[in-house]
Amino acid sequence: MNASARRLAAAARKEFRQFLRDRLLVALIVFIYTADMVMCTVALSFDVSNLKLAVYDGDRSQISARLVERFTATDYFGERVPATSLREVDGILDSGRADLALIIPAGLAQDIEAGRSATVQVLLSGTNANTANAARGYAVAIVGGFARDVLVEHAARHGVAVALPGVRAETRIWYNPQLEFRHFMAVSMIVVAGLLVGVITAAAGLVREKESGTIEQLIVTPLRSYELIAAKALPPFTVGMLTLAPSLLIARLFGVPLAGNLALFIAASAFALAAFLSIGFFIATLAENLQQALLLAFLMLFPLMFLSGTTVPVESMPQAMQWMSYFSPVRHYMEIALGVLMKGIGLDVLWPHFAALAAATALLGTWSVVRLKRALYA
Amino acid sequence: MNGSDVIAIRSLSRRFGARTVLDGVSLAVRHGELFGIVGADGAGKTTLLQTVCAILDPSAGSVTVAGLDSVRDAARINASLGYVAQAYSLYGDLTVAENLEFFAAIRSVPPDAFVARREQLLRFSGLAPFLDRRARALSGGMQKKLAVCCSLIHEPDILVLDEPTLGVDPISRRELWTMLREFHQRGKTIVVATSYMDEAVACDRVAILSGGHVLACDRPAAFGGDLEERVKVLLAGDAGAEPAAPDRPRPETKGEAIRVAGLSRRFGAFVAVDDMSFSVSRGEIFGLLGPNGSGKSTTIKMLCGILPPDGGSIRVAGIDVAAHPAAAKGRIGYMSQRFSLYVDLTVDENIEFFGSLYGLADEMMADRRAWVLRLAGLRGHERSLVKNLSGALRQRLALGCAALHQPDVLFLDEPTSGVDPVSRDAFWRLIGDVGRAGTAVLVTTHYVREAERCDRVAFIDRGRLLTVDSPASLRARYDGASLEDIFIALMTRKDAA
Repeated sequence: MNASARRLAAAARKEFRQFLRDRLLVALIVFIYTADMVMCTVALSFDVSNLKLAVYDGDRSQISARLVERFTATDYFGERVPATSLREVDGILDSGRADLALIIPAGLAQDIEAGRSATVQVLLSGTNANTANAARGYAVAIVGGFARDVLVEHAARHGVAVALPGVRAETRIWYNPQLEFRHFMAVSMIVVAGLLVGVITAAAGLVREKESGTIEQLIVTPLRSYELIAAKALPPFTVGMLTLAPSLLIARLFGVPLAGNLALFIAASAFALAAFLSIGFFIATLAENLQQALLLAFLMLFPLMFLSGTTVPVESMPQAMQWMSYFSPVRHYMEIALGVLMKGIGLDVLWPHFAALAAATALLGTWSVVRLKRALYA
Repeated sequence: MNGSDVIAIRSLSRRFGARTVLDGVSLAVRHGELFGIVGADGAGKTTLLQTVCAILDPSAGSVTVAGLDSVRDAARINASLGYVAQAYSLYGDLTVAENLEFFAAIRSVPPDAFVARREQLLRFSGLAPFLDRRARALSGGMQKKLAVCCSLIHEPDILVLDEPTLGVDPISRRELWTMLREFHQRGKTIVVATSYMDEAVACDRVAILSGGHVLACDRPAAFGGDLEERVKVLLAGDAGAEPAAPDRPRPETKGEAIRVAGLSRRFGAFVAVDDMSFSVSRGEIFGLLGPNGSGKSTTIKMLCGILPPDGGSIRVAGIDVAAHPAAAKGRIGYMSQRFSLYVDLTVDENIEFFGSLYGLADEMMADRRAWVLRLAGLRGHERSLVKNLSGALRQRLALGCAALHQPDVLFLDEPTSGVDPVSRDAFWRLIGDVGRAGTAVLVTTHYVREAERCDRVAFIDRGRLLTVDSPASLRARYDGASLEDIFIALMTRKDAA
């Protein structure tokens, strides 16, 4: 073992001791990768199911009852909240007792009987735009199907047998057949957990040396800046990589297919975690104390998270933002995670993201070492 | 207790968890008295003062201030006295004027009274020219003076100060005491904790605190002779395991450990170090004395190779530091004023870490570890976390860790600030040991009294070297004056020039 390796080993031993002695920190990291992941995946699910439906049936006919039944027969709409007046519908929507309301005017059956065009109204609470948008789609489809049946029946009653030609869009959803938002969310949470843990533990670990003044002592020893960075990175890196196991298990329990080569994903995680740690060290060279470091970390974390497709698809962002996101290691890690864990694709398709991630890691790592050397070592 | 007692402390005890910090303390401070509290680190000085200020409640016993009970009337006591904490209680980002204004506002000082008091305080403190300067940009001494001004802005009857002159240079220290005496002469009561014996002598009465008990309380003269010696005797049992210091004769060590020639460093337009030249021999203990901001730390940083000089040359252990900083680092040891150790690691783990950084291993490591434990009197504490050690033990361990690899030169940047007189004494014996082993020691200090223990002393001010000589020759040159008087004479002469 040469002198540099021996110094690195000594520094790493010291870092592991301090890191593992800080039980709260270790517990928090495990928590972010597991409990946080479960909570966010469950809570941030935008799937539409069991919406509460307020119904005002002004017609009270057999035909209006059939329409209502068509709504409640689906999984999308669950509990039915009956309303006796239009005013009551307002109250139900205002108070949040229902997510949407179906209003059937008096005379629906009469109009249909007479061959006139009829109208029903669907009122949606737009407070959650995602849910409202999905619910509107379902409602339009249900009413459309109902109208078509009404038309066929009407023609039959008048002795005309119609065979309405129709074109059906036969859709198949790949990678996530039930179109479960949860799968996406679970994968996204693994990426976000790595980002949070990497940036914050690195920033806090280095700033602590600054705050306690021990950094001065280190600077006058033969310990080099890259040895210090490597030693500081090792404990959070190790714990971050180990906690991938429970994270993947949780993702599996949520139904994520984990279709691809897990080794590929683990390699990508190693690169990504190293990049995130480098960002943290960079922050620590700017900050004087823990408070500043955390604020700076959040300043960088939020754009990195939101611009990298962890919550909204990159494709739905403005073109300029999409260009910017190519520089984010988070985006490439996210693409690899989705590709491997959901689509089961390999390096043949993902290699550009892999190359970009590796380049970002090398660049950020070098940059943080150079910054530390400049900021502290002279 | 008689009617003139303004502070009455009766059988006061204070515990923090299982730890008893004050144990049955009874004291009375008379109206208009200048009352000193002396004690080692961890004797309970700060806790006692904070209980008097009604910041902490007693665990047992009682404290009354001007007839008010410290538990029931805490708010009224807080309002009626001024407290200068050990840590600066100023807002670094606010200017001198803004700090004064803020403290006046929270004390509800009426505007016209504020203007008058402000003028008076500024005059006494000499802070008037710095009204628009941010507090953090002031020197340590001026910050303390400002803190005292802020505590006096509401004209309290009682002023409580916790080691106000800690880490303050001798000139600022004298000025601070002039302020305190002026306040005292107006019939006000002052309670001050201090570790300077010359300050304790200036008090009307002194209480000596040790391990949460009052050992003695009397007029300084009543202690007889040198108060510092008396206190050392009284506190002797208190300093923990005495470090074993074999008094070997100094080996004949010749040769230069440090040679500095024409050293300069500017920060923008500010000249921090100006054409400094000196040399230190192997085994020599060399003191660097100067007020805050005189360039001591900048000099040490350049000597350690962590700050490149603008001009001049530095050779440490024969190595050109600017050209080969990495090589020089292996030959030096450094201890900063903050005792930079890892408090969440044990004594052994700290020794092992610093030793390994310098490439110590196996037998060598075991040898040096034993040396540090013996030197610092830490045997039996090997597995203690550093955070559970007293300040004095930490300081000795920090010295041990800095000298672990037997460096050619050891730099100590104000190593004794915040340490009580007994521990300071023991520490200087350790420095002597390190020197006798052949290591050159360059030490900066505020305590001019400590400079007496150096082989040679350099006085610096505003980046310039004023004089270098042995303490004995200096005294001879200045007709037998004390080093402190010489220091002040040198600095004030510069001011006048």
